[in-house]
Amino acid sequence: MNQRTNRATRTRLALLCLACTPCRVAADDKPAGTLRTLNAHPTVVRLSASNDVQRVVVVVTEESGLTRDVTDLAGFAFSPEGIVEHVGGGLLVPRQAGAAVLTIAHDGLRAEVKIVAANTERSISFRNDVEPVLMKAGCNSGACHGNARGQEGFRLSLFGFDPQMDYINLTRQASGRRLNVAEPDSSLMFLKATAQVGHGGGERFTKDNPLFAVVDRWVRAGLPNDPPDVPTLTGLSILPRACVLASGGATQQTVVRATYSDGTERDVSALALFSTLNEASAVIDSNGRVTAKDPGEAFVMARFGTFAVVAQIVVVADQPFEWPQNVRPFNYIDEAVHAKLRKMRVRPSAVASDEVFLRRAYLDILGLLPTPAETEHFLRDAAAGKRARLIDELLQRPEFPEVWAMKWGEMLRIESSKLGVKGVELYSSWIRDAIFRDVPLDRIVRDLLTAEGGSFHNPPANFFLVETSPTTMAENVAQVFMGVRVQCAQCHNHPFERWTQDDYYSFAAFFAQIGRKRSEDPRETIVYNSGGGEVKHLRTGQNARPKFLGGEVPDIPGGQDRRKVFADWLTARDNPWFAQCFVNRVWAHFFGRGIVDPPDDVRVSNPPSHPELLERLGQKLVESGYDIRALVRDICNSRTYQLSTRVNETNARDTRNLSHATIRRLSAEQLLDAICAVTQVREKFAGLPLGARAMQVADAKTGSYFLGTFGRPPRQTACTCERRDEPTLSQALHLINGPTVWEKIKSPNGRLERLLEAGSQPDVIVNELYLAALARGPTEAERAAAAAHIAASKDARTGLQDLFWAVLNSHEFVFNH
Amino acid sequence: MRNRGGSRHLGLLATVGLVVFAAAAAAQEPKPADKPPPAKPVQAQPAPPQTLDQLLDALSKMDPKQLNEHLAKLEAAHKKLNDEAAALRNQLKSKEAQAAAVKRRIDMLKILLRPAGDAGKPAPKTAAAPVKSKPSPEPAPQKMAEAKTAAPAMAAKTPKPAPMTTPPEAKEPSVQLVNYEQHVKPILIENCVTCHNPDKARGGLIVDSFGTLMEGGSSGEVLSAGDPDGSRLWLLLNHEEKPHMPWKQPKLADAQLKVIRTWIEQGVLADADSKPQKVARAGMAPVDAVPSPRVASGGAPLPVTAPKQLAAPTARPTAAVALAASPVAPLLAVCGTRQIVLYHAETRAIVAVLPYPEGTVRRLQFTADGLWLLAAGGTAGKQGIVVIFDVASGQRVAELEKQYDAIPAAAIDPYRELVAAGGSNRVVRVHDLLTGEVAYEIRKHNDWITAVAFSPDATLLATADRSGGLFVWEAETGREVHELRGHAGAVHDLAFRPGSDALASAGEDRSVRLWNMDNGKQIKRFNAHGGATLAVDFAPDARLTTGGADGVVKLWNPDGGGLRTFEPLGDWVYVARFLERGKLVMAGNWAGQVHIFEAETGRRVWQLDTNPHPDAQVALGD
Repeated sequence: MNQRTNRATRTRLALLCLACTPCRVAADDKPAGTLRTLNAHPTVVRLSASNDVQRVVVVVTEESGLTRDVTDLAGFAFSPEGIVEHVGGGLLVPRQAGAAVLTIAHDGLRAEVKIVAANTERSISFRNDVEPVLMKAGCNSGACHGNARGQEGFRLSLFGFDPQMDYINLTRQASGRRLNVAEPDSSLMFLKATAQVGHGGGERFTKDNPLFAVVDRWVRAGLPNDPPDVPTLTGLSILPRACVLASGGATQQTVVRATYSDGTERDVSALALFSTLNEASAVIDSNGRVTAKDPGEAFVMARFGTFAVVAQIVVVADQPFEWPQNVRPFNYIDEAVHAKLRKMRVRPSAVASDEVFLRRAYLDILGLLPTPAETEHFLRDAAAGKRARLIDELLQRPEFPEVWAMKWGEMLRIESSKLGVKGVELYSSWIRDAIFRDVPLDRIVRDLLTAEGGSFHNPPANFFLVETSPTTMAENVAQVFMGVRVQCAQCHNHPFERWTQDDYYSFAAFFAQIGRKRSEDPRETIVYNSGGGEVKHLRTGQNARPKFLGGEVPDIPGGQDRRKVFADWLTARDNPWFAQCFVNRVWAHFFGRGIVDPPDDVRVSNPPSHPELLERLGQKLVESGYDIRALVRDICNSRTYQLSTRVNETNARDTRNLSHATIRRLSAEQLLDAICAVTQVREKFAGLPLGARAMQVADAKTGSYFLGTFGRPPRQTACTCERRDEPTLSQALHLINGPTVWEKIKSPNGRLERLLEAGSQPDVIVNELYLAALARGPTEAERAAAAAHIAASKDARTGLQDLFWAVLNSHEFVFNH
Repeated sequence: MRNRGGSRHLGLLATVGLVVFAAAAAAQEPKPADKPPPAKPVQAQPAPPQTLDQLLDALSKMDPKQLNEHLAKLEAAHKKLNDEAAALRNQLKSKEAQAAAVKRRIDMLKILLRPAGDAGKPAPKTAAAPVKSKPSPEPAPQKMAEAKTAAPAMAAKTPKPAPMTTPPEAKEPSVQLVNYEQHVKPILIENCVTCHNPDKARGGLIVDSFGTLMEGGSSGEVLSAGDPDGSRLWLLLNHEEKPHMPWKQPKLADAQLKVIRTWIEQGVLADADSKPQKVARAGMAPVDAVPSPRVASGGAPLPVTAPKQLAAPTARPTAAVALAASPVAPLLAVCGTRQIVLYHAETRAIVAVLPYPEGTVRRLQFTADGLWLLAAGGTAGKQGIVVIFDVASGQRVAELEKQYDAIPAAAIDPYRELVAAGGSNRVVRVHDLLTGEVAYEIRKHNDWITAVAFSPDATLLATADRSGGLFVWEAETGREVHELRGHAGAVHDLAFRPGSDALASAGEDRSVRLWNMDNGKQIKRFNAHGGATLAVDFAPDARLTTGGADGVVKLWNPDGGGLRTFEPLGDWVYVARFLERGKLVMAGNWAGQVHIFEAETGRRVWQLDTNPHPDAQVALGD
């Protein structure tokens, strides 16, 4: 269980936690079914300074997978003694320099912690000690002094992104009235923060709070500013990284450790800011103690400096749980999903029926409904493996690339107001053609990012015409190809991620040297590497040097195309973002929800539901040579994809763990194409031949009331949130009363009229309508109701029209289920 | 007006006649020698006509064109005389106010000349209202003498030609001065008129006519004739101040900038026929040293019986935010925590320690006669108080303006009648020391009060706030005299020029601005420091000293030309003051160090800390 737990969170946290492999000592002679392992966190303690304190937490993992915090119950023994003292609550205090081993014993289990203690005192630092206090106490939050205009004339940078300004404003501004080095106790900041005098922000801490002690120490030291070589924060970790708590009040203490550029480490639990991402399942107090509430999965977040880290808290009902014997994984996807479900003590739903699977697969893979003939053919097929065969067949059909061409159109924001009609035509043809021809994804992206020449002659050059500012371009590239939203960092460090202003401008610098000029054809623009131009950092006013987002600073000779350097990095096999970002987008298409959701918002505070699965899928995509069909094949063949939407008592409230299929409304394009296909009446879009499907519309500016009403994205931003899927009144009214459905039902060329003309009997017609719209025949009850209604109608035509209308307005038709 | 039918002329002529009479009458009046003569009548004009017939007769001989020209000149003369009359009326008013102040000072002195033993009690409390109303039998000769010398000093501000050019008449006629219509307007039309036209008028500024350009924008005038570095137009165009102009476009070509700079230097001429406007810099001519007020009791006021017991030293020095020098005695006051330490400027000995248990002192000021010392401050967020000490005895003469926050801004007028104070309450409260009551309150500021100052002649009170608000009031009544717009960000310090004709303000926007107290216009501005300018003070000869967040103290000549940068203090300089009548400059920084420099040589002659050790006075050989 522990290994699985660790694997589960490693993806996001691997780079932050290095020295924390759980140390386990097996239980001696213990009856099975009770305690299994004892872990201490951290396993290696480096007390880098004599005034540091390190907390060690001791966790028992029971055989059932439940974990319990036994820090207060365990016995601590040091060898040799005298180096470090345990002052209670797992807190270790150094007494002299040296190394020691701490042996922790509890209930027959043992765990060891290696300790190294130093005897040099850590001097107080504004950036590393005081700024965290301002953040933890909320002083520099947006509602208080972190506001861009400050508060009552006193301004701090939001979450401390500009420590130098904060230092000046605290110590020097307003004649230095805020902090008093001559008489520290009279310092205005103390009087305000402890609410001894009126303070708009009320009491932030009391005098016995460690936060007070930090600032007090700084004031008494004479408010020193940091030397230029002050160690900078390089990493943050939270321990334990995952735990499984019994619902209804079990607690777990966490420990937050920081690493610095000088190689030192430090327990910063007292200074870190804690929050939970799911209040219903777990809460965390300001000291980092987690309390379990209702069953579910929660992440708790610790923020310190520019870093944020999360720990996974699984809360389960403490009662027996049995995994159903008949539920076996179909492929590796299910293995990962089932592992999580077992841990969560949730049983997955049953596999969906053939009819449901068929309709779902057609809609998701092709964006189409199966025709009555295809449905009947599939349902009649009794041979084993027919679902896998169907998936293979669908993947070879020409509609499959069209689905992805449309997705690309959204990601690349292809629309004619920016690119012109001709540009849209050439650009979208280029991308559609690339997918048709199975051009690997990394090639496509490389071609886009390094495109040069005329936007008509080399259509991917249009990529650089949608946005022209380097910063906006960088934002879009990060969001589309890396799934990262860096917009916040334009003005201040990202509050819940590690992206700093420095990262933002350094990343934007890759796009600073793109030249654009008119071609002979005034509608065409030529894109070229201008070899000059820089992005200025907003705060420092300095030119930003290109630095990969979350990566190193590459050495780029002057004049070399920076875009090429970036494209090499982005599409490299070991790039941590690229493959996973794309996999996640594909996943979201098939499940209505990304493993990280929304799929273009990867951040620490938005952890993936199945990190190890995301990693695995990413690896497989790279190994397959970025073959999207292989990826879709794996997804659709999984048991998880083929689940029914019907829930059981354990998974009814689950929305995150893929224990059942989710009901999704058809997208605007799917729905319009489905109505056309079921009624057999074609739609006309401007600039496209009669009968072109909505999925084939390349330009978001192509007018269609229906598509607009049902949430087609206008392609004005790169955000996946542009596509709206929430229901609206106009959608309902349009389906009920609008011309699209009713005109098509009545159309003399439509399916119903042709069936009537051919002299089909009403029950045959009813059967075909059901097959066409719902990919199933009518049930006996439906058949009877239909017959009764037709009999009661003026004539069969009217009755059948009513029935057709009712089918097209049914939830079963409008939703993918 | 121009050459319309003859019937109109009659009414017009009557008016002209009256103006001619007036002009003639004015010409006959005895005038001060330095006044320019009134507009001369045209040459054809005979002796002043005596009757209307004669007038008509005389005028009928003139041709209409000449008549029109003559009319224009007469009108100009009329306007000028009216202006002069208004100025004289203003002067009269100001003199009356001065006289009233002198009268009150006499009353005050009478109270003060009580035996020294009574000094411990606040003097104003015993002062009865009737004392004030009783007319003083003897005039204050000192003050009157001052008032008299002040008038010529002000009148002496004759227009000077711009320094960069020689007077036009002395040059070859072919050398043309840069003017608006021919040289500057085309540049402005090319670059600025898209936004600054009469319809759009961004920032209230319209550049396509000389008149509107001279009016300036919503933040005031943009041109100061003869002084490009004090002209906002130049500072924005030359990218010395924000917003850089032209908006979001590159700087103007050097050649164009040169034209504009030369135009301003040459006096902002309208067209080829214009004469240079009055050059603003003339207003900044050096003043004669103002004689120091003499003390009735004789001898410079030094502490006699004041305590000398230093408080226990604090762990670290108090930030040196307040310093003051006695105008009449070799005495300086240094702020501290719960005390004010007075040093003898020559012996450098601690001569008194005035307890201030209320907290930290943030403002110190000696009265003009050196008898009293004002101290304002307190404990931030908790309590604030203005205390007035009797220097000789060290006793508290008065305690005023008790607030719930430290008081950063306070001043006492030179005649010890009014005390103004303000702070985070955004109100300037002016206390009348004679009655012990609040004389009036100023509630016009929208942010914390940062500085207040009385003019040396006690007629004006200047007040400033944290968002750049700056006002000048009639000290006695609190009536608004000027609103001085210009500072972006807090105003940190204020100082009146000796002679009370100008005010200097120092601000967060790095600038020091000099304001004309006659008309409220900005005379001059210069960016004094690399960071905020936090302190400004005038020497008796109108030199300036400033201190700033860049940790530097500077010395400037009266028109803002840099004279000297002293050795840096290494941390924010909150206060810079002249000492010993301008011979020395003292400055205090955040680290609690006070450095004293010789103005002449720039040498640092003395350094002291805000929290001397109790043994220090022994070491200094008191």
